Amino acid sequence: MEFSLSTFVLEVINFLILMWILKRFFYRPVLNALEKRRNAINQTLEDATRKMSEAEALQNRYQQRLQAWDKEKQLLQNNLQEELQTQRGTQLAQLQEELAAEREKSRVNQASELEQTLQHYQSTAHQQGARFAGKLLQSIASPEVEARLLDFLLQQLQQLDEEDLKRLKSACDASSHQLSIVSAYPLSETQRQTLHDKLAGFCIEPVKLKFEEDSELLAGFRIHIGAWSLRLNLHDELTGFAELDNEKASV
Amino acid sequence: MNASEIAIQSLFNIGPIGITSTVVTTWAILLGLTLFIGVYTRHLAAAPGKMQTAIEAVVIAMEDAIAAVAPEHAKRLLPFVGSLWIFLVVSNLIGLIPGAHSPTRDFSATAALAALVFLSVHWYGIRISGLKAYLHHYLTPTPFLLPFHLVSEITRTVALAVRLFGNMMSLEMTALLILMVAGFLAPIPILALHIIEALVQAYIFGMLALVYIASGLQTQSAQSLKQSTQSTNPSE
Repeated sequence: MEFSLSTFVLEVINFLILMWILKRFFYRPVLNALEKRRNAINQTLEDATRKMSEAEALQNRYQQRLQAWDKEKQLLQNNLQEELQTQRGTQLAQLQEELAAEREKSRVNQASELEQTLQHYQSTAHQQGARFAGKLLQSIASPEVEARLLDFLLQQLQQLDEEDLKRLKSACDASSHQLSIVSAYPLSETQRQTLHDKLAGFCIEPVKLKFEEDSELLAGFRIHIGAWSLRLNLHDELTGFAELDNEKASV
Repeated sequence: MNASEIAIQSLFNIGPIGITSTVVTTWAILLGLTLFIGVYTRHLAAAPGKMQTAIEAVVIAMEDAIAAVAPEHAKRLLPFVGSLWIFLVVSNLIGLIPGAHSPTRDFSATAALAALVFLSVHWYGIRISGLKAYLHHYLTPTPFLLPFHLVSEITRTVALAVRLFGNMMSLEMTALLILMVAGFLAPIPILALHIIEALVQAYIFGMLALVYIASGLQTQSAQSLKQSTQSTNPSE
């Protein structure tokens, strides 16, 4: 273990020179480069942070805008729903009115059809009734019935009012006192004389009676005095009954 | 190779000053490091290449190691402690080159480095804390410990020099003895141990220097903190 002072001193100087060189040309530039890079990284981080803040602000702004759009969309949807409800209600009411009108029309048609059917049945029933009554009256028609009808005729003529009497007298005058009497059965002389006496009372001058027979009358009389015609027989009654039924049906 | 190679040879003289192989090797290391620095640190790019990345990694590693011991003074201590590490690593490893010898196998060189560490402790302590405050720490915690402090300053410096010198000289001597006894290629395992030992000894020397410097700074920091506490609480 030798010790050399000159080596000691030279080594001290050498190390101090080395330290100066390293400090001047190694540590300082490397540390400066590191510091620059660190600053650049920090600057980049600050820029990134700033951009992130801006992005977050932008995101918040867009989110708020989206929320506003959503609200506006919701409002428009609500308005549209309300309008649709209103139109639906209006159209529904209109449809219900049309449906009610159709129902009323259908009801009227059904009532009309029912009325027509009912009238048809009534007419059929009346016709069948008239036919039945005709058959019945035809079976019971006889000179006795005709005699009783003659009595009834005489009573009716007795009960004529003044107006009817005037019209009967004027009809008698207009027919030149020629009266036509149609009966279902041959009248006896007594019956003819009774009728002559009775009818002569309605005319001023003497009348001439013309007696005829028509079996279709079934029983009773048909007296023609000019344009005036007096019908009191079963056939005309049934016919009148049927015509009355037809008139009711037409009404 | 013979036993005379173990001895420090005086190659030539510059006037009365004898230039030994240790000094020449140190100049060679100085020149090599200067060239390396000139080549690789002249144009540092913002986007570093492989070599620049490695250089920056070395600097950052040294700065972090210093900051772990003295966080507030890492920038100030980096040139001295970092230079110690770089110089010692290169100096210790240069002995692996055939024909070359580590400067650290010379006690004069390790004593010079230890003396620089000794001086740097006081230099940094006085520059950072002031002369009075720095000298006052020798009287703490009690003035009776002053002799021990003084002895410690000397012994730890001597120990620093002898430890590095002993380790490196013994490694080279061991390799030489094995080569002389066993022949060519036999010292390879001891040379591998040389690599590890070189790195470890460089780290230990630099770290001990850092600890010595930092201990002085921390002692001053503790005293300053105590004084400031007393000034804020004068009743105590």
